[in-house]
Amino acid sequence: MTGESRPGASGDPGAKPKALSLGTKLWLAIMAVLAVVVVFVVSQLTSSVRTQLTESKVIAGSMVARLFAASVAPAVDFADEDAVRGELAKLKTNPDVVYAAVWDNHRRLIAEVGTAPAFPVAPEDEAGVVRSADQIQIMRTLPGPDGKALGMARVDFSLTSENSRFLAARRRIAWLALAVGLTISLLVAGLTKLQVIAPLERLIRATRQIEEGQQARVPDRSGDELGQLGRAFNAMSAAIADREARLADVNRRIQQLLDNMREAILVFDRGGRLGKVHSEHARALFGADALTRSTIVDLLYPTGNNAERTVEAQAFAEWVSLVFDMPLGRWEELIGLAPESVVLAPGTSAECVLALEFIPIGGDDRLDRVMLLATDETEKEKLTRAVKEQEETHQRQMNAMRRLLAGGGQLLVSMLSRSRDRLQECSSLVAERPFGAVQIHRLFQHVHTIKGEARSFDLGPLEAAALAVEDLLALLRNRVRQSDSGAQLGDLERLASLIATTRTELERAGDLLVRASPVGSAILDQITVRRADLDRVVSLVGSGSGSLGQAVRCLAARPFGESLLYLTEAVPSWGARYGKRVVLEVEGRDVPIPVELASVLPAALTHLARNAVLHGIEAPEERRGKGKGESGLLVVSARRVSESSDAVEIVFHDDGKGLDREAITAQSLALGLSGPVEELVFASGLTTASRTDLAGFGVGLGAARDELRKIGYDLILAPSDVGVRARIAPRDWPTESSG
Amino acid sequence: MSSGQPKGKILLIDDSETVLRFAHAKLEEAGYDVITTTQTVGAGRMLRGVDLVVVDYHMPGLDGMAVAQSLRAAARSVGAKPSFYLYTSDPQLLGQAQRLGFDGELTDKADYDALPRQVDAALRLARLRSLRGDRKP
Repeated sequence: MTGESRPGASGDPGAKPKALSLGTKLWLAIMAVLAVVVVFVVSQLTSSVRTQLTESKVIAGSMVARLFAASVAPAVDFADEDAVRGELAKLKTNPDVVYAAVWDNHRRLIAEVGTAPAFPVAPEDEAGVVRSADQIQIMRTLPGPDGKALGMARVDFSLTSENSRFLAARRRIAWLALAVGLTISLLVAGLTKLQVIAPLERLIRATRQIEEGQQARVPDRSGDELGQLGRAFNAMSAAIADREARLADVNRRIQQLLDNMREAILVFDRGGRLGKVHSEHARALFGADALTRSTIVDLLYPTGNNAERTVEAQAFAEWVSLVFDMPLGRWEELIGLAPESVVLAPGTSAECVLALEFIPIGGDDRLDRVMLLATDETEKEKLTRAVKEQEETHQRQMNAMRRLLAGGGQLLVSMLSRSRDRLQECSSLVAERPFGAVQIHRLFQHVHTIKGEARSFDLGPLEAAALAVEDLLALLRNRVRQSDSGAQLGDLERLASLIATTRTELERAGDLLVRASPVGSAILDQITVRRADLDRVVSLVGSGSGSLGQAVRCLAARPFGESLLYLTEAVPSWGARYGKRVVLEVEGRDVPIPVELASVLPAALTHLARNAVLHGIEAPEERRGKGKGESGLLVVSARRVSESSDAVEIVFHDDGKGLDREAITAQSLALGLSGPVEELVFASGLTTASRTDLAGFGVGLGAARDELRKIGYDLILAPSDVGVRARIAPRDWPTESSG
Repeated sequence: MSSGQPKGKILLIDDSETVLRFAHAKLEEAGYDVITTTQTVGAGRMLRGVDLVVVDYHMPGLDGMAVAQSLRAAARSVGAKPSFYLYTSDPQLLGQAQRLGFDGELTDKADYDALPRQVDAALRLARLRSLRGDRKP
């Protein structure tokens, strides 16, 4: 019989005492039952033996007493006391007789022999047998010839020998019973072990194997209840194995699904403990070791050598704690307080930006676990930063170019023109044969000058390109000095390529100049003349209708971009003042504007721009709601109406909400005015805005149109599906333009 | 500059104009309404409506606990309940701000890219603690 105990429980001072095994309990029970039975049987047997021995003695003693009574009766009848004593003496020779006595019928003791009993014997005792532990007492009546009782005789027999025989018999019975009992108990124990305990132990072992994840079966040999239990266990084991196989298959599919997803997927529960289910990307991102040892807070915000958590880690830990304490119905409220992203290893080469999405898993208004989908946006973040840096670099270049222009754009224009000529000369030199020290020297001069001038104008890429040519020329110069063979063909090809690169950078600088120039490409064609000289020429021949007059008027014309110099920076600033984003785009910067129009145009455009920013362009939120971009757009374009005329058409268009017809109409009525809205906006005193530094006086637009009309132009508001479209054109020009 | 409602109102107190300029630009770009000052004295007037006050750890004359007490008293007087955080570039000072009476620290002072994230975390932490406090009987 094995004593059963749970693994690991032994030796543990706090553990419960070992329980007795079923086999031990059965054996003890069998032993107890057997002991009771044996004791019962032994006591019955010994009692029977004693009774038999005692009754045998009683029978024998009764016969002796009857014979004695018969022999002593005549002596008593004849009152012969001596005869009575003689009979008593003869009786006493029987070794079993310990006492005898005779009484007459007057209850007088006639004679006695042997050891008197401890208690007085009453002669009136009736005939009979009295048994005690070590004696039997037989009382007989002395019969007379006529059947009348003559007296009583008593004979006490000893039971000593019977007792001895009884004790001997009892010992034999006891030993025999013990032997039989032990034999039976061993047999029963063995059968129990074989038929009950062993099968149960096999079941227990098989159950433990299943608990450890192994498959198990028990022998299916018997048809009794244990056999049925074994068959049922085997069926259950097979069912469990089948379910586990299907579950493992489902888990594999889920794992495949997770691994194929781009996100790192993790699951965590209360306390931030990570579950065993996670995606391949999670393992690759965090490391399999960290996923088994960390909590979600430590995983996303590792503390490193510092035991204190950063504020980001504290906030996330608080969120993880609170979200499991709140009802699931408050998830939407709490998810807004979760971090949207995290940066791992910030500022290092291993920096990783993860976008975080949390998904609740639970039911019955209780959150069980949270699934985290972490998307690696490092490359996207790098790209965004790179684009931003590029934009900032470009803006710095543009600002630098503008500063150059503000300080004298003609210098830069001449430099670009000269550099272009120098590079052309360089290309010619490279093509000369033989190519030697002379060519290298002249090339050096040109490229060195280009490099110096590029540095002066802060044109970094052009300077770098010229430097690369210089470096190669230095190399070739040394090589030519050291050998008579001259430059190799490969070197010349390389030189030509670098010169082409320098030319490309030069053109880029030119493009940058044009983009930064408020007058566009016209900056490249401008020369500087004295205003007094120009005014004199215009006054002399500018009014003429012929080609000379036209040419002089063209000479005096200003590039359209000059009219917008102020607005280019002012419009975004006005917008910012009112919480709006506004961008001004100009088309036709280099279109020449007749001098008379150039003097009044800035005022008209300023009024139009101010009205657009104040009344037309919506706030970013409103624009988003309408499906527009956040930044409002003002587009101003200029074009010559024909090649034979210096007249121009200028169109101003914004993408705002257009004219507030209701407000304009209401204001007009209040002022006693009527007419189309497109005409009412020019009315003096009419304004729908409160007075600000931008607008509100209601006189600007009308005044601007009056000035334009004085010089033969008109300002007309044209129909438009979006925003306001205003057109400045010669008064005799058709109202619909192709622009 | 981000559009829509600001994500929160931040008061920055630092003796360096350069730091204030960079931090202001970065936080404004992230959508916060930012006000700055180089002085702790008088900063109390700016606390109305402020959600988070960030104070340079090494401000001249800063004696820590007194500044925290002064700012908190000023906030109470205008009905404001901002969180108060120290700003430092030393990660070893984590855990020290609370000893001085502040709610925590923002570290990585030289890293302006990290500042919006830390500000966001500080505001979220304050809100979460408020929610937890609301749940207590």
